[in-house]
Amino acid sequence: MKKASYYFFASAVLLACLIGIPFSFIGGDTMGKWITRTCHLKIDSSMTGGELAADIFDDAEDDNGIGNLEYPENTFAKKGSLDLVRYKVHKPVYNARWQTFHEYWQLSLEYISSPDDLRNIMIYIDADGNRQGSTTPLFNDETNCTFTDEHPWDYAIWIFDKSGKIYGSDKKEIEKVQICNLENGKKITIRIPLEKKEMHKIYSSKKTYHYVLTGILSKCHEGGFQKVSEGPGIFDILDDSSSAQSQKIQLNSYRTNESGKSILIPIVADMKGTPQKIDDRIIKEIKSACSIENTIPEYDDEKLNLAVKEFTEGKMEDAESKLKNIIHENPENAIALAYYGSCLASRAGKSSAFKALKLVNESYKYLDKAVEISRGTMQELDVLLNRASVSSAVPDVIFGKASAAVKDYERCLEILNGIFNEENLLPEQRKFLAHMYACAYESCMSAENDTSAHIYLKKAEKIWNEKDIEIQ
Amino acid sequence: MINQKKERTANTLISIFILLLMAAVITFFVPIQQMNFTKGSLIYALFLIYLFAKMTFAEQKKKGSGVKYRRIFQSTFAILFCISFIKDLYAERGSMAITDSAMSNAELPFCHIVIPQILLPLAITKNIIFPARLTGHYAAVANMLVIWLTMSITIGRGWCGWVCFYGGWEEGMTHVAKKRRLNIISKNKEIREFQFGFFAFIILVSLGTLSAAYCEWFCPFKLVTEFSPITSIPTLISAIIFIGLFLALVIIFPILTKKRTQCSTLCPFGALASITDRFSMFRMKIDTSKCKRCMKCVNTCPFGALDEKTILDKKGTPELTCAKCGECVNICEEKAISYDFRFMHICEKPEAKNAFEKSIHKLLDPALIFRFASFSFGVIMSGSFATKSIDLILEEIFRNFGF
Repeated sequence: MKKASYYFFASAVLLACLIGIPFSFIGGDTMGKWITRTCHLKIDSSMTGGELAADIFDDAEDDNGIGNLEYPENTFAKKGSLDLVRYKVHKPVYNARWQTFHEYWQLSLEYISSPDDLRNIMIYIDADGNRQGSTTPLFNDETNCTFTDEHPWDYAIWIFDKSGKIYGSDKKEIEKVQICNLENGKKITIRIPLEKKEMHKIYSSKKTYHYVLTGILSKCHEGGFQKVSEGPGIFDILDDSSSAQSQKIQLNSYRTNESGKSILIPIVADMKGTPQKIDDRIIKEIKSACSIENTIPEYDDEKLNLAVKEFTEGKMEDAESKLKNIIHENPENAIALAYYGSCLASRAGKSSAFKALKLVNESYKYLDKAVEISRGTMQELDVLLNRASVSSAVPDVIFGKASAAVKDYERCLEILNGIFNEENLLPEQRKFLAHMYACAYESCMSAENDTSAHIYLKKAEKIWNEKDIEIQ
Repeated sequence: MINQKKERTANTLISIFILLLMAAVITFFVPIQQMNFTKGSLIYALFLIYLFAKMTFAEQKKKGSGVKYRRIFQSTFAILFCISFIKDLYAERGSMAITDSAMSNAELPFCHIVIPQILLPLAITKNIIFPARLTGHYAAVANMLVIWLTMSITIGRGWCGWVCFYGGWEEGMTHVAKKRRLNIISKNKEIREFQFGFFAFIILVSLGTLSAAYCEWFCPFKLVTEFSPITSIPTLISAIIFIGLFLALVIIFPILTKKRTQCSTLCPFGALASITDRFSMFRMKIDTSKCKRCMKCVNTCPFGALDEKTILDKKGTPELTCAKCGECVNICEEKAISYDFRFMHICEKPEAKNAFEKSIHKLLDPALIFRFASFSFGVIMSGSFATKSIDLILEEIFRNFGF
């Protein structure tokens, strides 16, 4: 018995060493992701900015100031570089290790695209809500704005290029802040040191009120915003578009105010709370109401139509064999290749783990070939939809296809926006587009890109809530 | 005579089989997966195949003599890792110094030495007290944890003796001088005790301060990887400490003592690996009936894992800090020291009755499997770094000589 067990254990060691070690490295990334998710691993928050107090999303494509502001032609401002989409407020951090500042307060901003050198950002903060502070901008400039008397600001942070400074309400500089530009300035993190006495009121703040203004740096006034043709020289402000105090309303208020200046309203951040989760009930509503899967596309080829019909009706085996024959006759038939790949992926869902792995890898060979063939043709949309659906359906922990699904859905939306007139959508078009945005939202959430997810959520919501949508 | 010939043929066939397997591992993890058949990847792949072949056939001739190739591999890996890593740092950040951006975005590379420092804080606070990426990078936390778990189960502290790209510096330095100038063998026990005492100190300080204390203050390898810029008194003090430790424990003392002094006194990962080594599949065995107590193994052990007392007391195994490097196997004239499976206390190795069974035993030889496992680890860990470095060196040579 002992001798038999020697051979058994020795063979097990041999196999573990010959095969186990290489395979553990090949699958190391997958195993790592699984360990991270299962054990909920996370880096200590004092090293990553502190716990999140508020996570505020601003509407995308609202970087037009009063409503009609265009990016100046004589600058090189890239479209979207002034379009703020997300603003995060963290809780103050104490006793941070390995960081430049042991006590700091982090804010972060995210824009649609990275800037040129002329982006100018001003953040005004009412740290205590005690109605003491300043209601006029930090710099004399063409902003033509004031701040509401209820929340005069205590601190002003000026961010230009890769540097930043913080000022008190007496408009005197307190100190420099640490700026980190990520993705070439698309994301900015600001760390405000809290060592100086002037900053200590942040520690006891229960709520802070933030005005975040983005525009182009003035050439005439140091730190100010550049004059524009009409209204305040601000392209985007952080606003709560769901309320009556949207950006347009705030920035256009100069027309009716006695002072002739726009009065800005801050966004509140609860420093003792946690950010609210994204309310995505509308996505579920869209997906359940839209019966895209029952809409059977039609092609010129009758055999293909039959196969696609069977695929849509869930008769996978029949569809698969028909599609295989079509591919055999015409190996360059992109639609057949795409649906065949989808059939294989569907079969993988009902197979054992090892077989599923093989089937999914095989399905991508067909799907990728289909996308390659159909690029720039009429069939590209259908093919991309197939691949995106498969990428969304397969477990991301194993296959890591969530980001690929996002890219495919983005390309689909690009194609659709080229075909449809978003101002004048037909009901079926509206439903289809809303469904696409909903799918893109879900893929972005799987890929942990919640900024893009939120943008798609807002777009889906906007299209869905427009009138005359027929719900089947 | 015929039987001896059959045995030799069987041994050769087994060696070729293992060699082919290793060649497959090297081919996959070096040219194919890493750099897709660049000049550097091909050169490195051939170098590795050559080393492993020499090691395998040398072991066939004389047990333990393959250890020379282990030293060459580990020292080469250390240098090539350093070149590649520093190049990556410059490409990412423009310097070897840790930038604010890397620190605040939690993008520091997570190496294996951090692991012992984060385990207790992780268990208690459920947070990782090191600003590194969690996944998606070769130096991400989860990836290194997977490597550590795999290593603990398979080769155990053999990582230190065969793979560690930091220890490779000392491995090279211990062979610079022909003769030992400073004899610290009599202090082996104290050194081992110091290592575990320092390990406990680091664990407690890391837990108390919720930061990786060894990385922040002591790690000598910051000099050849990355370091905090000197902007304050504490960072100046830490710079003096790590430069001093590198010069002393990685360069000077290994040359003088022919021991891997940093690995045996300071490295917290080495201490952790010693403790978890009891879960690994392999161990070293001393056949006390063959041992003549010549003490050559005690003199030669670079990790101070063998004392006179270990031999005189007929302990049968080296001390806890054994890194399975094989130097003792090589030096022992009586061939009393060998690799063994850890499960042997519950099993009995049957006697081979015929040529076939002898071949099976040869295939299931613990030393053979251990060498394969350790070398595989080294190949896979070094694949991308070494090929990038070689490509860089070739590029510089071609540029300077106008090719």
